[in-house]
Amino acid sequence: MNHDHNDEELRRVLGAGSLADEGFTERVMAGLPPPRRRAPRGWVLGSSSALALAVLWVTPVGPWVGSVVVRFAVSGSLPASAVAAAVALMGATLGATAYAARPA
Amino acid sequence: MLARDDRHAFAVLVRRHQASVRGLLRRLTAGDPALADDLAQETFLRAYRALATYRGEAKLSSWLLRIAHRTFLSDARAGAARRVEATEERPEAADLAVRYDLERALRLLSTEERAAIALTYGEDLSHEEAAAILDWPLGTLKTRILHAKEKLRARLLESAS
Repeated sequence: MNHDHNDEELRRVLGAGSLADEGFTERVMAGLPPPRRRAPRGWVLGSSSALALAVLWVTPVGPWVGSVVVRFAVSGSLPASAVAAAVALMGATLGATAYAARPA
Repeated sequence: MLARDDRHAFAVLVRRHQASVRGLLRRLTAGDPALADDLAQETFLRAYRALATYRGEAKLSSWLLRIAHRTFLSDARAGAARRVEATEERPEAADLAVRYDLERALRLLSTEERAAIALTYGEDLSHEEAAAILDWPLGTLKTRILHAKEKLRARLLESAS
């Protein structure tokens, strides 16, 4: 037997036929881990929080912190340093919320 | 493009590639279909977990065969190879005598030689493709094929005489 003949024989015997599925795919699929439930995206929660904070701070009417600060500032009963501190605090809280909500 | 949790697409992938993965593993396990199918199932589970890392640099079929080979090796390291050698020889029909002789002869090969023969002759891959799947230099693959064929020829001549 020459080399070519041996090679052909090997290919014929080893490569013979395609295996029928016979339920193999179903068994594999049944063994896969269950699909993961998607957690709410962090940026959605963070953006919502930042927006809510912003509204609470800047809404000019109602009992919110921002509106109280604005009312006192307009009436002149709040010193400029206190207004500046309130604005800085608002900036800090909004900044921290935005930082926490940044994409991973 | 497969989405990570697209189970339907993954089922299509399994159906399309199961024959070559199972075929390779049957040859690597020297004709133990139950063990080969267990390893094939493990292969597809590993592939499912690793789908996100598939970058399309290699053909999907080559990527799967590489995972199958690694799955076989880790199982063999765990001692399953001894199980294969201890497997009783199954009676075969007379018209399958050649296959039977060849399967017996394949058991005499080392794991590496069997992998080389299974990919190049069983899967009909080029030497370059097989070497890439096995992570071997091309020269190593060719040497192992040569040795494997010499062993097979000697064994088959012996059984014929």
